[in-house]
Amino acid sequence: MSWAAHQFETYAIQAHLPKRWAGRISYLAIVVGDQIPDFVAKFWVYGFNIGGRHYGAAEPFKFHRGWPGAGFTHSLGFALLLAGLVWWFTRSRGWTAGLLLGMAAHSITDINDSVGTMLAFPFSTENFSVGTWAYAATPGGKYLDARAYYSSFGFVMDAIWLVILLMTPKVLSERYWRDVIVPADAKVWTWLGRRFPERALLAVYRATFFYGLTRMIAWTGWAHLLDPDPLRGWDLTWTGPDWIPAFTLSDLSPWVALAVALAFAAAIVVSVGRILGPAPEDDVGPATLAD
Amino acid sequence: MTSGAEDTAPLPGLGEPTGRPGDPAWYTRRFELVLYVLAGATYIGFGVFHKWLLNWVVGPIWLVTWIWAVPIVVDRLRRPSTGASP
Repeated sequence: MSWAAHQFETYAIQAHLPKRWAGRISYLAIVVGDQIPDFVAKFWVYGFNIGGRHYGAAEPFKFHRGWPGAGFTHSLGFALLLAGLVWWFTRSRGWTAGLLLGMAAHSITDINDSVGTMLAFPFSTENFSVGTWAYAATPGGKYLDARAYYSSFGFVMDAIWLVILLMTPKVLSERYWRDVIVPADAKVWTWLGRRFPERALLAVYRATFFYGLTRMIAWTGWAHLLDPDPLRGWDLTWTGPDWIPAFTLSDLSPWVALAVALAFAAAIVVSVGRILGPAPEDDVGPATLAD
Repeated sequence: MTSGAEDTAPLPGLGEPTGRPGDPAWYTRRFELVLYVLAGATYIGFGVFHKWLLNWVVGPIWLVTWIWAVPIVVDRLRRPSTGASP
């Protein structure tokens, strides 16, 4: 699984949307879509203890990414189903498209761990993995998972997404928020604007970045500076770190996984294009919180 | 919040008030930047020792609370002294 990458990728997607889509896709929907796959399953992956007894998945990697289990949450089928439901209930093109993009980003990023994701569900229950780092969630809990992730190429993945984001710093600016983010979600921001001052709304928009950056620093600092474990240090090798078993659910070649991920991404982009339709010819100007 | 011509105007300098509705007159962009940095430093500082804080609910709330509430608190603290002055 990925950690701060899931926060950074939302801004990276937003910053690199084609011009004809900018201002028409809800950023909030991208964030929600990016959280949904793990929101459905994560609490049971790590589990919890009550009265000395552990409640949770016996084999977290199978429950999280497999079938039967919650692996379907990281798939094209689930993304389309959820987007379809949102469209059915809201008729919001911006939210439907945003959810699709967010869920797709999450599912594709997660092919990098050794378990991978069931991208082609419901057509196939095969997991597709590139195996860049070891999937490390165990009944042992979050700490070991964090130490493994931030000792491997997982850390590098977070850093890459951070660099991609920081290459377009305007995406975090106040002006970008006013001109692009607010018009795409005018109702939500207007509703919030009646209750909170603008500086708080801007902080809401930047909060995902804040959380991604601080959690990356905090967990890396804890694992390597505050509480280093000499037997569990850095290991920037493929499917590392080697001090933890890399669970797998498939023997498919990484190249097949990459090809399927590209096809998945193409399907999502085509779907988003269909949902949004052609760009409106007469631009009436951005909506505002005062509308 | 407004749009159109005002959106193309340059943002205030770091030492100038933000000019946003709802922000106190003394609230500069530099002060806001310091708040962001302090929010991050305190979240990391507390988070590494109390890891239950490091989740996607507490993290965003932590930032928004700092940015929203600190100016209100500072404003309340400043008010009595400014009110007493002639």
